[in-house]
Amino acid sequence: MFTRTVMGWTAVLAVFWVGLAGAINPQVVVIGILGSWLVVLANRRSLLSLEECPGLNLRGMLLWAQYGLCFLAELVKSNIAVARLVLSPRMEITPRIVRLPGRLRTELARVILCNSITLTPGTLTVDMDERAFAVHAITEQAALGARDWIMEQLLLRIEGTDVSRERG
Amino acid sequence: MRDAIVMLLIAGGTFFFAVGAIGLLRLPDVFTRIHATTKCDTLGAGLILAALMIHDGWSVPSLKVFMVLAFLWATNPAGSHLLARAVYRSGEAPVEVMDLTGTKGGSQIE
Repeated sequence: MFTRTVMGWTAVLAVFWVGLAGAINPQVVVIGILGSWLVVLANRRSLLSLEECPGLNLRGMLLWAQYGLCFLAELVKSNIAVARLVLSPRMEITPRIVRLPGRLRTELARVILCNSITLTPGTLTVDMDERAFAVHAITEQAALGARDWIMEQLLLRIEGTDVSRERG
Repeated sequence: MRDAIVMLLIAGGTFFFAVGAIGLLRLPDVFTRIHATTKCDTLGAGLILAALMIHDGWSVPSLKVFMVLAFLWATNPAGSHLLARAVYRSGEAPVEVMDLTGTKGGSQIE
């Protein structure tokens, strides 16, 4: 009931609540903490604990920041590519599904990679497990681009996997 | 100056929403149509919400708009993924498969 994970999530939700309320007074804070704690308790089986998060050190934080910036760049690039494709008169699409090897160790990293793939236009994760991803791509070029994607390289580095050895 | 940036961002966002709608109409099957609609949510909504944040400056409403964007980007791929996985597993939409995994590796994904 008062483990580190539960209290940590309660704190996060309480801060979020105060942010939404837009005012700090005892009433708001007390209701926020109590409410957050009840919500966290109700969901305590599916909570993510700190031990499951890779990259919680200075180097990892820098890599996460790099991941965010890289992701925005990829997003803009692929948005323009797909917009061009949709607006071109002949619309030369070659849709296909590619199966890619999954090399990430932690579940959190896999989920983040899958969501990044889906959010990036032109590629869509249709299935995943511990060993592989199935990605639907709108063109062959997008399909080949999903292999050894820079975002996966970054996640591997966040997890501390030696990328050069992995590939050799 | 600020108004100019806001207008530019809203125009960009509207453009990507329009492209998403056109794509939804033009593309041939479920998967490719999901591609078109994810684009609306990422850059379309992203640019418009960014314009709202710049318009309002550093304020509580701006923070809330930022949270709207964060939740949109967190939930949109989950929805798209579930939709796509349901179609993929049901085999309703046949599609060419390219295998780049190299080895079988014991994955359950066919």
